[in-house]
Amino acid sequence: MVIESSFAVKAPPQKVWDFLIDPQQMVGCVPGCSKVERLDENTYRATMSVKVAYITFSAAMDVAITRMDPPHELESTARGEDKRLGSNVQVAATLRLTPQGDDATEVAYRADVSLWGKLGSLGEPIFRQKATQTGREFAACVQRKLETAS
Amino acid sequence: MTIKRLDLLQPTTLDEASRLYQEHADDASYIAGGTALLIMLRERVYQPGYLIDLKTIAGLDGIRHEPGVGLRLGALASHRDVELSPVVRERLPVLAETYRQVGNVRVRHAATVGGNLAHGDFRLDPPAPLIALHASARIVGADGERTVPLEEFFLGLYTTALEPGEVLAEVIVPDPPPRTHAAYLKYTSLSAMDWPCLGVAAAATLAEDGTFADLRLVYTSVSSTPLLVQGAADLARGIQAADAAAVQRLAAELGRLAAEQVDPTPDIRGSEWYKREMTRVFAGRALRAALARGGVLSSE
Repeated sequence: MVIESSFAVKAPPQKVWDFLIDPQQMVGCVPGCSKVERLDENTYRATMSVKVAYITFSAAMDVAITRMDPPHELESTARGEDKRLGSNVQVAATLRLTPQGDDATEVAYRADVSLWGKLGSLGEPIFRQKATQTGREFAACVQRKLETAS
Repeated sequence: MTIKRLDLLQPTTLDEASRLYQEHADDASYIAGGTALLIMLRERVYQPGYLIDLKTIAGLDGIRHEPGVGLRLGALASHRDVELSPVVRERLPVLAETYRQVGNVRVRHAATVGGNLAHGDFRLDPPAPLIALHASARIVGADGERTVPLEEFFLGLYTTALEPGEVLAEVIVPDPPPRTHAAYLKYTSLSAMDWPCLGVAAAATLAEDGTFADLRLVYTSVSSTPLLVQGAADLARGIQAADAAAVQRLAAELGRLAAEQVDPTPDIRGSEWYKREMTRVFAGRALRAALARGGVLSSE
């Protein structure tokens, strides 16, 4: 399942880039993420808990940054398992920053999400809805934090 | 798969239900018809320690009309009860027709009016005509009782105005003004039993001279909550409902307006573009169905 979208931020690419690669900033902006620990230079462990209807998916997600081209493009993978729920999630994501004029940036993201196990019983439309909603909340948070900080 | 062992608590009053919920706060769920919940329990994607059975509370399954208030649908009335209720068929046939279109007859015998709404799925049929007809939910909780218009009840994906521990006790549909005509159309792009590609209800109220006084158009399945189209009444007001050409122009404008406001998610039932197009097309169909129902416009 591919989730793609983009949003604009009134801040230059370098500033947006610095924000997006700062784990502590991401904790505050990724809905459901409560903690990020750095394991080594390019890998992190993120504690996630996402609720849809009655179902809560909780997992420690291992996030690896697989390619960095600052301040233009970032590729990462993430995988995690909720043993209680008997479900796995794997994500391959690309973030692309494009300058818009002097002081604005377009952030485009593309995430290829794979789900295994019982989570699949909810069905794709529901995950798409949830993912779209999560993407919008993330965008709104990044905009709010970067635009009010300047 | 079998359901994991759990305790079924059977209160006999709403107060007792609320107290039991407080006692087991994070480990309990209310259950009514169970048509949505049991799937998740069997799959073991949701494993509460306690279920609080609302069906053992007497007096919540009635369907009656109260002068000055409107139609009162008890939360535990089944879909089948609404579908077959003489008082619903007489006063608001659109509701009987809508509930008849949910799932299959076995599901309709189990699924309840309140459970359906509390589940908050974005593809439910009943919210469309209920919102079009200004229905509200009577909600009971530990701190007392409140009434929420259904158009404000659905807050997001599977998220409703119900706070933890609150119970949706009743749905109240006020008597519509005279010359109000309503219809609900369900469009399934896969099999008839599938979730809809979209559902749309139209409720038109005409003035004595036959022009539109009000028009409400509500879609389901094409946004994360049921969507009441904003600005529909402004487009319609003053237009002569029996003038087929004028209604056709109105239908086109309504379709454009609705297509701008929905936010469909692409899936096996259609791409985003397709669902927007169907939103556009079904605005006019629902409007004409409502007018045909009132004998104002002959059906095509």
